[in-house]
Amino acid sequence: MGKTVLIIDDEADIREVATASLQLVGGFIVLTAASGQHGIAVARQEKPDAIVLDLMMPEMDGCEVLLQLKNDPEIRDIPVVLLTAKVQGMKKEMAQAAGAAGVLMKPFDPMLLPAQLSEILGWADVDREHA
Amino acid sequence: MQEHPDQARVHAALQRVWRQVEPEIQRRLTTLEEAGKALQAGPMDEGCRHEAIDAAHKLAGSLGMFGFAAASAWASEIESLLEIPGAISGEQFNGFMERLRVEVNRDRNEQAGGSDEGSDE
Repeated sequence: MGKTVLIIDDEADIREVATASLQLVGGFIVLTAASGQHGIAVARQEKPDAIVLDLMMPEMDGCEVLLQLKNDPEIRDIPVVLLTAKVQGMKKEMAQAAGAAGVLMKPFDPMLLPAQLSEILGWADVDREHA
Repeated sequence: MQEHPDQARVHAALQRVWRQVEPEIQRRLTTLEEAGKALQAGPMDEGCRHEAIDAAHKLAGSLGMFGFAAASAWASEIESLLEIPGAISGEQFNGFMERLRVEVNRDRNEQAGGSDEGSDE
């Protein structure tokens, strides 16, 4: 079975393209959530192998979601990779200090996203033939 | 050149998602154009500026996924300039917007012209 990745992003197009990319190119099982709160609930219930988390979201932003994930002993060890449209200086540094495994940039190339994610996470068994 | 099956499937998924989100992309472009008009009329109010920043940010983050790399870069440039109040005049803003529109339309035309999958409507 492939690894399970949870995508938390408020933008539907990002979720859909990332899902297609991670499923079709990377062979991952993909779960999605459109808000931080829903994402935390899905993480608690499904315990994915990794979480891709949008940094800039309304209501609960990515930093806050990250803090809540890392404060929950049940899910704190799930690696979280931030997804951001720009390097948001302090926010990015704060998030990394709070325990993010790495950062992916928007816009991403759907053909390369699985390999980039796997590289950050140190997953060796990714299908890289099109990377 | 023939696409690898994975690439073809991702391409098909991108086209499907693009058809779904294109109205929203156009709405974001319109939001920016309205902001440009407001800026030409005088200083932009904070609400309008934040709405424009949000639209530019979302365009910058999504257009590139669909192959609109230059348009994405222009949207990012607009976002950066809007973040500093007074950093851009209405005329400059509209110049950037014109380039953004040109890039989106050029890429759309290229995609339509380059599509041989009969998926254009």
